Amino acid sequence: MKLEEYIQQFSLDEVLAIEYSDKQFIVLQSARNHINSQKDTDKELFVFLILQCALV
Amino acid sequence: MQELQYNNVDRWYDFLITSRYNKRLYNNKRKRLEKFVMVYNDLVQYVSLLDHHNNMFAFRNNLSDAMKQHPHNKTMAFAIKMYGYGARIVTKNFISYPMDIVIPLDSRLRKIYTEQYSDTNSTDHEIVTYYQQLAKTNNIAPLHLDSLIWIDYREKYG
Repeated sequence: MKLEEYIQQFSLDEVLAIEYSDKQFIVLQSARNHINSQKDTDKELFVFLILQCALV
Repeated sequence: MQELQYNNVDRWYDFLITSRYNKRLYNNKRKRLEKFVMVYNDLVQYVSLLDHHNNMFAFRNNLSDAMKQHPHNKTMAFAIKMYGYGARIVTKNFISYPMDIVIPLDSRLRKIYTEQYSDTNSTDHEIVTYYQQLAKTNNIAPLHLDSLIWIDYREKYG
């Protein structure tokens, strides 16, 4: 199927539903859940580390 | 936090050289991390890192300026995509990626384009423009489009 035709089938909400199944998103969510369970609430550091990870 | 930042460049490097995956260009990646550490304080001089969630386009520009990269650079776009994921997770607030941040163009997106159009002569700029136009036509920001293509389209038709 042509990409143009394929994309026309989706609303943004439907794209987001698919995006939440992205392995990268799931891993980050899982990491955050683990950190929360350790009572570490430093949100800035979490995002800082994600940025570092994305840069390599 | 400065000391932690510098210490963890070494930790990243140790991780990279012992990792099973992503085994390329260690020294370039180390330099990129060192540069990020150098410019990080400027990026959060007036606002917190999470405040950039409200204006990811400006953040992408500031980040690419600071890192001396072109704003359309694949790594810059990918960094913002992952930043958006992280910020969404910790704030529990969804903010759509800006339409003006281009898709992180890589080999799989080039392949999809060239296969669809039997065109191997287009430049990266032309291919990025194609995806940009596709995003605008369908009102789905390029970074969200990237997710859709990466997760669903490639599996079904790639």
